[in-house]
Order: sequence, then C-alpha cells, then structure tokens
Amino acid sequence: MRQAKNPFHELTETAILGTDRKPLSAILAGGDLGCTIAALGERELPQERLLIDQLTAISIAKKAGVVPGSFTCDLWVCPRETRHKVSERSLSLLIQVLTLEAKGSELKHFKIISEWLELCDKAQQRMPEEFVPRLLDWGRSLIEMHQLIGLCCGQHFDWLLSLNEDWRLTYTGKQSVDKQDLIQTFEIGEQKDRLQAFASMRSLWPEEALILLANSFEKESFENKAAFLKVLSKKLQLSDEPFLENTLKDRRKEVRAQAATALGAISGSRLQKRMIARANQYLSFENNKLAVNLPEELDDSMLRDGIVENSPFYLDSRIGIKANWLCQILSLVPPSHFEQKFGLNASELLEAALANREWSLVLSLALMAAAARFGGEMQQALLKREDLNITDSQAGLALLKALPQEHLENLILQKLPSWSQARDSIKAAPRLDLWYYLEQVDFNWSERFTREIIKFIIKESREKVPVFGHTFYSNASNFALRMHIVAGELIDQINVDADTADIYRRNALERMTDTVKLRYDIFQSFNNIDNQQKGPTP
Amino acid sequence: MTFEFTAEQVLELAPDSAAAKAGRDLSSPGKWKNLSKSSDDRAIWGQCQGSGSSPYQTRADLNGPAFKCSCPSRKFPCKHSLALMMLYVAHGELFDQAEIPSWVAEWLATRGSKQKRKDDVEKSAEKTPEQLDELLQSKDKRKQDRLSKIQAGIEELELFVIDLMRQGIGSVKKQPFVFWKNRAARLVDAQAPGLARLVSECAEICARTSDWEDALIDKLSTINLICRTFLKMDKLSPELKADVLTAIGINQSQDELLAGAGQSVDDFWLVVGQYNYTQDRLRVQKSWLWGKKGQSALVLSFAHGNAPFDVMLIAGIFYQAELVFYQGSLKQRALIKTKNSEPAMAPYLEGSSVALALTSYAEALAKTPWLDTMPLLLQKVIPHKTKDGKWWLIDQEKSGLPLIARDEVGWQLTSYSGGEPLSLFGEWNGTTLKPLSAFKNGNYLKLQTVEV
Repeated sequence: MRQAKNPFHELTETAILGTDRKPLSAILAGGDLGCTIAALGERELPQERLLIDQLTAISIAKKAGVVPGSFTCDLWVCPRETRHKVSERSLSLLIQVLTLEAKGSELKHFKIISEWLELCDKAQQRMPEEFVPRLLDWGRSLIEMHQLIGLCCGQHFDWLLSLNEDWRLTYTGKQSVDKQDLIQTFEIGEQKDRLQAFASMRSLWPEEALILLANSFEKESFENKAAFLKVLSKKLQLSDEPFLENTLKDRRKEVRAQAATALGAISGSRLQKRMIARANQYLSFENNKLAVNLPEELDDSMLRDGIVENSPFYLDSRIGIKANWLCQILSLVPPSHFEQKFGLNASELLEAALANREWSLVLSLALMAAAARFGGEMQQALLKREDLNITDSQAGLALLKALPQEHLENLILQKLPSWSQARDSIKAAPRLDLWYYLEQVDFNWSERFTREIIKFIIKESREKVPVFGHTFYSNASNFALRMHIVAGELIDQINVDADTADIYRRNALERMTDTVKLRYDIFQSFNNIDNQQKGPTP
Repeated sequence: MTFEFTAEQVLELAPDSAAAKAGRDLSSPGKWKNLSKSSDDRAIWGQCQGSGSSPYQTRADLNGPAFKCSCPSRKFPCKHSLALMMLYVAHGELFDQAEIPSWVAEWLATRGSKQKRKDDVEKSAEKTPEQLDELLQSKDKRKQDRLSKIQAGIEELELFVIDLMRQGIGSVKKQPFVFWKNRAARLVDAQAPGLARLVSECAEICARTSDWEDALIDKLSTINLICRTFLKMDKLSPELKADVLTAIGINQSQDELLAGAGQSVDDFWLVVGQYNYTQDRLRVQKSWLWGKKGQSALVLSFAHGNAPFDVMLIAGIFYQAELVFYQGSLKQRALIKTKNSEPAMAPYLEGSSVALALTSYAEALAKTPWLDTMPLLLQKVIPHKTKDGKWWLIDQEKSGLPLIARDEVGWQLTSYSGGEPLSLFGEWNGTTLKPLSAFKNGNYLKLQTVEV
C-alpha cells in the first residue's frame, strides 16, 4: 500500500510548539496547495492568524485531495456454499440464546447451542455467513464442539480460518499436537495452560506425560499436585502405580487423598491389597451378622494411604471418628472380596451387615461407597432394599450417580407409582425424594423417562398441595435441559399461570417450561417442512 | 400489502436491552390469546396475560410501525408490543384475519386524525395581520440580539485560538477537561451551542494517547473556518449563510420548513444506515436515508429517557415518503412530512467507486468546508485486514478507504462478502469510514456501530 506524504509537516511542528518557540517560516512547496499556502502567508496579519489559516487550508486539502490507499494484493474468494442457510426462525432462536445475559446461564448456553448445531448439521444447513465470525468467537474454548461448528459454518469455516491466524490455531488445534510445544507449555506456561498441556500429553503420549509430571512433581505447590493427579486419574493404568505409591509419601493430606483415590481405582493395586488386609482385621462374619472391630488409632501407614482424620464424605452425627476411618477403609475394598471370603452372595452380605443393629448405618454407607466405586451385584442388592434411604447420604447419592443411565431411569420409574400416590397417608417427604433421584440423572433423558416425569410434574402442579421443594426449584432449568425433546409436546399442560400461591414454585415451573419450549422451538424450526422448502438458497 | 420485518429489525425498536430481552421472552404463542390481523394486513393485535387481572390489549400498526398497549409500562414500545411483533415475524400463521375490534379501530382512527387535529389547532390560533407583524418584529429583534451575542463569543474564541497558536497545542495536551469545558460553556452563554460542541470535542481529542496532534489541528481548523465565515456573514449566499448558522447551532424552524421554506422531495427512501447515541442526556437516533433517485438524507430523531423516538424508522426498510430538506448548500438533513413503509421492496441501491465517492466528497467540502461527515455508498468493494491490523475497503480499481471498525465488525463484513465485492454504506469524515451497513444480492446487513 502507498501512503500519501504530508509536505507541510513544518507547519504542524510550529502549531505543536507554538510561534513563541518556533516562529512561522515560509513554506516552499509546489502545486495548488503550495501556492495557496504561500498566498495565505503573504498577508499583513499576525503570524498566529497566518498559521491557523494555513493549517486550515492543509486540513481541507488533506481530506479532499487524496485517495488514502492503493493496493496491489489479490484477495481470494470463498468457495461456493453447498448447504442451504438455516431459516430466519432458527437463526433468531440461536441469537436469542447467544444473547442470554443471566448469570449461571453458561450450561444453558452450551447445551442449547450444541443442540442447535447438531440439528443444523443433521438438516444439512449452515449458519448465514454474517454470523459465522460470532460463532467462531463463541466456540473458541469448546474444543469438543469445534468439528460441529466447522460443519455448520459451511465453506466459510476454512476460508475464514485461512485469513485469521488466531482462529486457525484455535480450530485446527495445531498447537496441541506438537509434542515439543506441549512440553514447553507444561514447563513454562500458566497453570491453566499447563494443566491443558498435561491433559493433551496424557491422552496422546501417556508414558511420557507421566515422566514429565514425575520430574517436576516435587517442585509443585500442593494445589498444583492435586490438580495434576486429578487429570492423571481420568485414565489410569497399572504402570502409573509406582508413581502414585510414591506420591502417598507427600506431606500434604490433600495430595495423599488424591493419590489414594487414584490408586483405589486401579484394580489389584498394592493400596487395594493393603486396604483388604486392614478390612480383614476389622470385619468378620459371626452368627449370620457382620461383626465390627473398630481401628484403635490412625497410624502412619493409614495416613500414608490417604485415610484422613474425619472424612466429610461420612459426616453424620451418628458416626464416630473411628467408624469414619473404617468407612474410608471399607469403601476402597470391592464388596465381592467379602462375598467370597464369607461365602455369601451380595444380598446375603448386605443382610448380614444390616443385621448388626449397632453398626448397620456404618456398614451400609461403606457398602454404598464401595458399590459406587466398584459396581457389581452389591449395587442391585442395595437398591432393592426399601428400608435404606439412599438419598440421605453422600455415599447413597454417589451410588445413584454411578448407575448406568438406563438402570437409574428404570429404578426411578419403578418408584414413581409410590411417589405419585398423593393419599393422606403418604407424607410429603417420600414424594420429595424423587427430585434427589432426578438430580443424579445428569445425562440426556430417554423419551419414555421424560414422558413419565413430565406427567408426574403435571400431576403435582394440579395437586392442592403440590410437593416440589428446594431441590426442584434449584434444578428446574437443569431438568428442562436434560429432558428428551418430546417434553415440548407435553409441557403446555403445566398451567404455570394458575399457580400463583408460591412464587418460588411458579418461577421454577416458568424456568422449566421456558427452557423446554425454547428447545422445542429450535427443534421445530429445523423440522418444519415449510422452513426446509423455503429456506434461503446457498 | 405484506410486511417482512426480521426479528432483528423488530428488536432494534426496543428502547433498551432489558425491553428487548423481555419482548423475546414473551414472544411465545402460549402467552397470547386472540391473535388477529386486519384484512389489509395493516394492523395486528392480541391479548397477553400480565400481572394484572385482565390481559393487556396490545396492537400494532405495521404501516409505521406504531404501537399501543394497555399495560402500565413507561417504555415504548413496551415488551408486549415487541413480543406481538416478534410473534408476527416468527408465527404469522397464528394471526387470523378478523374484524377489527373497537379498541383497535379507535386507535387506528386516532392515529389518522392526529395530524389533522394539529392542523386544526394551528388554524384556530390564526393571528390578525397586526399581530403577525408584531410577532415578526419581535422575532427579528430576538434574532439580531442573538447574532450580536454570537459575534462577541466568536471574537473571544478567535483570540483563544490565536493564543493556542502562540503557546503551541503541545502545551494544552495535559490541560484538564475543565480547560475546554469552560471555553465551551462561554460559547453556550454566547448562544452558539454548535461551536461549544466542537470545542468540547477538542477535550476528547486531547485525551487520546496517540494521533491527537493532527486531529486537534483539524478540529481547530474547522472552528477557525466557521468563525471566519460567520464574521463575513453579509457577503454570503443564502445557502452558505444557512450552513454557517446551522454549524454555530441556530436551528431552523421545523414548522417553517414544513410550511414551505424547505425543499421537499418525494421518493422511495431506504433507511440505509442507523445508529443511536447520547448527547447531553438526550438519546439521538441518526438515520441515513437513500432515495431511489440518488438523493441522500439525514433524519435525526430525539428522545428523553425511555420515551420513544419522535420518528420511528427501521433500518433496511424502504419508505415511500415526502422529505423536506433543511436549507443549506448541501441538502443533507431532512424532516419527514409523510411516510408509508414499503418493506416488500428488496433493499438495493447503486453506489459508486472509491474515487468517485471521494470526488463527490471534495465537491461537498468545497461548498461546506466544515462538513462533519458525508454518507458514502460504495459499490463493488471488498473488506481487507492489512498486516498492521487495520481494516480497509478496496474497490475494483484497487483504491482503498480506511475503516474505523472493531475486529468483530471487520470479520463480520469479511465473512458476509466471502471475498466477493459487495456494496457498503458508511459515514466518511475525510479520513476514515464508519461502516453502517452492507448489501449483497438484494440482502441488507446492518453492522454494529460501536466505535473503536
């Protein structure tokens, strides 16, 4: 590009310094402007007056006389689009979601936009090109959505990436596949980037990632150590055991606890064997009951293995400190070990545990935590017991969360009829239990499950004294996000306007219905035949 | 008649972002009853259940558009009006043709008779020839008094500029804001608010960390030109006289302009660019119109607080309208005398190359050298970001104009063009172009107007 030069720079200098310090001198320049400036300078006026007049002439000439730039570069054109643009309605709904400003709406953003993108791709449509940059900026940090975003942006995606280096690096992920770059980031980057680099290394080169971490581990702060161990725990293998065993010697209990959790998840690990050896000392089978012998002290070896003074996981006024240690130990032992040892099946083992009235709570919590961690038949045995309040404890909630989706949905559907009976004899509390169960179903609900739950909510909203409660209020939007899209067909049956008695309930129901309707509107905007036929051409 | 607004165009009418969001939230069919439209598609109406016992009656005249709602909101248009329009845009099929109910018909009739009532009031206030003569004389006297005050203010301002040249503008860079504010206040006292505004802008320029010297010299040059021209008022043509008085801040009477003092032009006008800003606690909407016959016009609309703008125009929409131009060398600012929206017309206009556009700017500058901004409609231009991070528009002859635009706008424009030439409308201030809208294949794109 060629830039026009200003031949009258000296006048500007005089204006900046002032005529007191730099008196006005004659300007020798050719052309019309030069002649004009010279003519203006010849008048019998104070030099300050001459100066401002000459500057005025230059100011006008600068605006009127010059084409600011000329270019020689060739610009290349985006390849022709093959997909149709999304309909005006679909786009409007996406903009509606993107402009949500409420705090805490990130999950809603993420879930609904990803759903929108999936529908857009399924319909073989694309974003209008003028909105592509906004989408690319929005999706920067959402690596798992990059491919989908690329598909929904059509040909403009690659074309814009070729023009914008920042987007190219973000979306093609060139940075993350270079091992040396990752190592460098891990060694000298910010903590957030170091964690990201370690996670990438761990997924691509697990052995080298472990060596990298082992080399720097001692120099890390305890918060960093715990954070790296958490990343490491996501995909463990037996070869990680020596490093983790070594980590159990760390001074900080937070680091030891994280390492113990990781080791506990490695089947057949030395830590697991040590825990089994301890458990064998404290638990025996006598007279068809499990007999408990509490640990006397929290010795160094137990501390080293991540047992803490008072684990918040088993905080309960009915559980003493030694029983808390025992729970921690038993939770790291697969229940199948005791089944084999005592020659009992899972149900019989549980029965034997509950038969010991004095220690039934401690044993049931420990078995729930162990079943959540190791799975197996004990899960079923625990869930079958009607007399156990699963949702009363963190261990019980962890057990529910560990269940496969279909299993948990079936469990809730089995219990639904008893929750649905709003007889006088049925108190509110058992019905409230449903929301604790639902809170644990944090994935896409199946169509059948969604229908049944919506029916339950409709029924509850029509009751004289509906039972929703705080757990429902605080999760209403989340439930709406997890529901199958079929919810949109049923949701209008919830008459929110009629529910004026309780402002919290009304707000929660409104949040839920609004979210479901928004998702359903988006779904319909992509599935409306009119939209597909009338959609703008590529 | 069919009206094809987009959802974004409707939301542009919202008085603030909260109203826009609330309007969006309410634009769900389940929240409305009795959605209907008139047989000529001019009016739509519906009832929305709010917090009151009876539902709010909301109605809209699409030929405007104009709104009325029975809700107590002070915002205009209210969230119900916006929601009704949003619903019409998204679910037009839900609006059944129906006989216009009395609460809609009465309002439509009132709208039609409003102008007539105003004329009637003016007629009833007609004065005798003696009274008119007296009014004219007192008006002349007031004008002369004001001009004398302005002259005194300008002479003082000239001395201030001369002092600046003596001391150097470098010496005022670190002056506090009040240095310029006090000078501007003296001009307000001298009844020259236009000049006062220019002086206030000098303070903003001095606050910049770079490129302030040339910008301050340009601003002082503009002030110098206006002052010098004013002092030679007797020798000026009527048009230039009107120009300089407008620049100083003497408003032309809208009534007189509408009564025949201003030149009127009847045409199909596209609202080609539009943005809002706040000036002295007053919300201002700047709308650039471009006629089919090639004439451009600037319509300014004002509002206090959440009150509606006195003129409602939607960007990207054609209006069949009679405009009355303010007096001056350049026919730029105008009033709307009559208007009807014609949204079914595809927004397409002929533009010019960079060189031609700059020639027309130079011609305009020759007529009004203190010209602030001029609308440019460029055709076959491509946006381009140079390696130094600046945005340019390049035409077929490879001539370029620098853009003043955030990266979001630059990339939006680039993506919209796809590397192919498009038409672009913006405000040119002699050094940079502020892009306001783009056209491609009969489609209109309004650009964000947040300044860099």
